[in-house]
Amino acid sequence: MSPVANTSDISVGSNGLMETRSATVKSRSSQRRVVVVGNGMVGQRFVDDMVERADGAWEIVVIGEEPIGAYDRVALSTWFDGASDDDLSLCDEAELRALGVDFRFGRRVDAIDRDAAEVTLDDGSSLTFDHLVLATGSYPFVPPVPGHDTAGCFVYRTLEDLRQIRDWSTTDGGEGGGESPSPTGVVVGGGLLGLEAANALQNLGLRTHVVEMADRLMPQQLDPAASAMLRRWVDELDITTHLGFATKEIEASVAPDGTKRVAGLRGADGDLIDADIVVFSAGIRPRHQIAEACGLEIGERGGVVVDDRCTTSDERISAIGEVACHGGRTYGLVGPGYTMARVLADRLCGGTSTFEGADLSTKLKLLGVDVASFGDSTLHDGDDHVVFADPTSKVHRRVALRDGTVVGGVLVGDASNYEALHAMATGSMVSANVAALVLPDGLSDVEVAELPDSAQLCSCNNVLRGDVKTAIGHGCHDLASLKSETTAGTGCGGCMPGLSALLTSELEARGVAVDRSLCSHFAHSRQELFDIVRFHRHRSWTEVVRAHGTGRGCEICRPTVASILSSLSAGYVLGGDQAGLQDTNDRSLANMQRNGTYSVIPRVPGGEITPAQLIELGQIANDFDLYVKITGGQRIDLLGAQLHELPAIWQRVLDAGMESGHAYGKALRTVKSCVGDTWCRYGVQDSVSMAIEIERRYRGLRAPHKLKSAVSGCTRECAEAQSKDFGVIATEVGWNLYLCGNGGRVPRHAELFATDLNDEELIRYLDRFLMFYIRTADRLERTAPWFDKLEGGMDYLRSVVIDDVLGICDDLEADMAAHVESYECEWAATLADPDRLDQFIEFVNAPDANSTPVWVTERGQRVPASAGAAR
Amino acid sequence: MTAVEHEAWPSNGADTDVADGAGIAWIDVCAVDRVIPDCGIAVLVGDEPVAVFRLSAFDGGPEEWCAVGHVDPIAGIPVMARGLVGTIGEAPLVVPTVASPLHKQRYNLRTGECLDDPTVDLPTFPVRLHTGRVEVGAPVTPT
Ligand SMILES: Cc1cc2nc3c(=O)[nH]c(=O)nc-3n(C[C@H](O)[C@H](O)[C@H](O)COP(=O)(O)OP(=O)(O)OC[C@H]3O[C@@H](n4cnc5c(N)ncnc54)[C@H](O)[C@@H]3O)c2cc1C
Ligand code: SF4
Repeated sequence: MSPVANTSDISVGSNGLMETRSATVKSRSSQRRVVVVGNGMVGQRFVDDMVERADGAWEIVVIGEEPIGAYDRVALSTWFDGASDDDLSLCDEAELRALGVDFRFGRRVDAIDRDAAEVTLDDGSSLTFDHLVLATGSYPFVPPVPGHDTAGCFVYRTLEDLRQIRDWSTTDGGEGGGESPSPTGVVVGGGLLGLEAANALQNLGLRTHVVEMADRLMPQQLDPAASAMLRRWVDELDITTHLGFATKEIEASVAPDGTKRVAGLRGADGDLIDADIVVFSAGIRPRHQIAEACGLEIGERGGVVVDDRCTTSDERISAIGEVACHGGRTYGLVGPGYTMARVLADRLCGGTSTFEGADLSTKLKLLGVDVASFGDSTLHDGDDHVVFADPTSKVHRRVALRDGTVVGGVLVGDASNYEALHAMATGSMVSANVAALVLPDGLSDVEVAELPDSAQLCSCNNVLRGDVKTAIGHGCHDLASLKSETTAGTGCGGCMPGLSALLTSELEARGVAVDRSLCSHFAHSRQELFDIVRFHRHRSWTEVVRAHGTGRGCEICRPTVASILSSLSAGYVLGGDQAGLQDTNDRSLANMQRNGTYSVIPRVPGGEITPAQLIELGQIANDFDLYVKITGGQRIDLLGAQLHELPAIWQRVLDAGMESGHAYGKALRTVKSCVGDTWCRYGVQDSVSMAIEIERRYRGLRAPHKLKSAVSGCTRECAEAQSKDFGVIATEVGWNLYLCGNGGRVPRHAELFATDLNDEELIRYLDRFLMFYIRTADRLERTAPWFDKLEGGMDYLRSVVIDDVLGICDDLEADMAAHVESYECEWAATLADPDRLDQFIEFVNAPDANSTPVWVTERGQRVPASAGAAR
Repeated sequence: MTAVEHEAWPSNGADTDVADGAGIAWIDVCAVDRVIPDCGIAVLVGDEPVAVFRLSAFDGGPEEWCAVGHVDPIAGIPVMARGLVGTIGEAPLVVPTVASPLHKQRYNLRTGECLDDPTVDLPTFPVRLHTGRVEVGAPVTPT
């Protein structure tokens, strides 16, 4: 994102651009100006609420210190799993600017002049306000031990922090194909954020330690027994924990040129932990400095004091989010901040709502483990406790009762029934049946349908069960509309299962048939349709829709049937009547980009490519002026090809001995690999050859969603196989197989399915697993959510794939054999048939005319001009 | 596939009132067989990009032809002919649609109306089949 224009010219009234912009909303004179300091999660929510409600009565100016607009800090760690800045963004900058919001990113407010009602920015300019909102959040506390600022010490709060952490740990050998043993990372602080940071370091391939001063992990939230159970999960992830460790000093090593870098942590008792990188996560402190400097009241333990209206000791100034101190406390969670944002926006628009404090109950997934605490979670003498503790499944659930009423508790390893228990602890539901509720998932479950309306369903946005019911009553009959109407489920997503269960039960109660059908043209689910097509051996869309559907289909059922036909190897995807079924990308055998051009991604099996092929790809890009980017899956993406250029480009790709990469289809994408024992000193198997074998076997395989895979040559896992739909990691004697992981917005670790398989077993189980998934998954369902719905989880999957309890393995293998047999490169088939090439003429009646996209040059390459405009 | 041939195929409801030929110049764009059923093609009518769709017959009804603007009105990019066709509604009120390949908004192929965003629509054009050829009508401005 480029820096905001006109930042140097922002004193009041002199900015012509601003004048015209706000004039389109309301005439300037009648508008009052609210200046928002800080564009974090809460500041952004406030802006969104204002834009929705203020109806042009307020001119909104936002000053944000970070170089980009607000992003999802709660999901910060997913950035390491490939979520881009865009994926995390919460700020629809272009749209909000069009509505008149004036964003100034990369600018900090340095001082507030209350008499002049003016703020001063770090570039010396100033800006008056009618109302000022402080949403400056917190900063991470770094204990002032000697050496705390040595190169290699970081904090974990912003995208920039993560970028620095990644750069530091990868330049040090983390990615270098195992040239040096993995570096060591130490996180100072064993609280919630510390553990999250530790998990991130671990995923970066570092040997990871956590040091915690207290005698247990998460001392704020967990009692000793619950914490000990969490410790088991942490140990299992190979993260080393040092409890009762007080850091005395950060030791540095000094290079010959005098530069210092982190070498280790010295504890109070003299112990030394070696470290190549240190991340401080020892708590957060409100960023109230500018408020303090101008004389606003500050809380005893920090934070700008506000009343129930979120107003500070100055009527014209409010504070919201982590920087606000309400009722003597600050909130380090996003939910209460969002409530404050809503209250303040309502107030400024004439409303009277108030913020009456929030409870600190949370339910989250930490290191992939459910951790929840609710109500009063500390241990008190005299309370009764109902406890379920099972070290084998690493579950600890404790609920505290006072005079027979639930007052709070902690759940580790399994957070089921959280909603009901939370409702009891907050008094919105009568405590009953507690013993049953304390039993973990599967043994007992109170349905969300049975909760009272005042029970909180979504803790991130404080949405009550009653709110959701009202929205369903108003016609939100699917999850998407329910989410956008109520904002439930738009935070951490932990409440989605409850939300969906409630939706189903409410619709059933209302007599609305709960429709599992694909769309209005087929009364079958994808799985049923798959079985039908397979049973009847249908070979074309026409047969399928005539026999089982109605009408001409739609953009949902047509590609679904196309994918099923293709999974069952009904041949060329554009053959027969299938062309009209395919999504645009499948139809053109290329991915359409924002300006209507396409990307070309040849298959590079296992990421292995010859110099000659590499040169030819470069030559092709040069000749067609294509933008070149290396993909995350070890391939090369050539972007900006026009429809009519695709055949010529692909001809040259095929001539160079490469083939279609199916990057356009819901199909197998890449099988990533590390160099393995051919080159790497640590390798124990030939990961490249295995990756190539797998990629060749399953190339072109159409599935309900894209499929990704990787093969690592040893447990150092440089190919990141555990983040894939199916990942393979070499062992001394064979291969470990991990299933059902993914990166992206909601990353998931793949789970261990089987160990020490030989080559043949590996392929056999993969054949069965993939076909079983393709047969039974829903439309657009990736392996992880599909797996979540399998009752019995991994044990069940093993029983199907290894023990063949369903007796279908022969069929599954036969289906896969048919796929392997019938595979042909779709581009080779297309280029061989002049009729099919007609598809790539842009204007049928004017073969020589082509539309001309508008291009600009960025860093020496051609990109769509519209991309620049959108920034 | 048998294409029904008509002298004047009253395809787009919006244009039937001028389909008597008075204000329309018919432009031959291609052979009927060049258009794959349920796929669109793009043609140039003058210098205006137009998307022509051939919608296969179902439920005993006739095959239907529609033509709309090829430029996605939201993105301003000429791609509509590459969108996926479908139908919405139940018999007898079945309406043929095309979804933009960029952001999937659906348009009524007969009227050009956008079903997902009432603020935009596509222009529509009359289409007819004439001796095995597809012709698109362009309004003639009287001089
Ligand atoms: C890794 C991580 C995981 C988390 N997980 C959870 C979770 O699971 N659940 C949960 O509820 N919460 C979680 N949180 C906490 C949550 O992110 C915060 O509560 C939330 O971001 C607070 O929003 P805010 O707007 O008050 O502050 P912030 O999001 O910190 O935003 C403040 C912004 O103001 C800017 N700023 C500060 N001073 C100035 C100035 N003088 N001028 C201009 N700009 C300024 C800052 O640069 C920053 O961008 C997590 C936090 C982190 C770091
Ligand atoms: S064999 Fe592969 S996974 Fe193991 S260290 Fe070498 S490059 Fe990394």
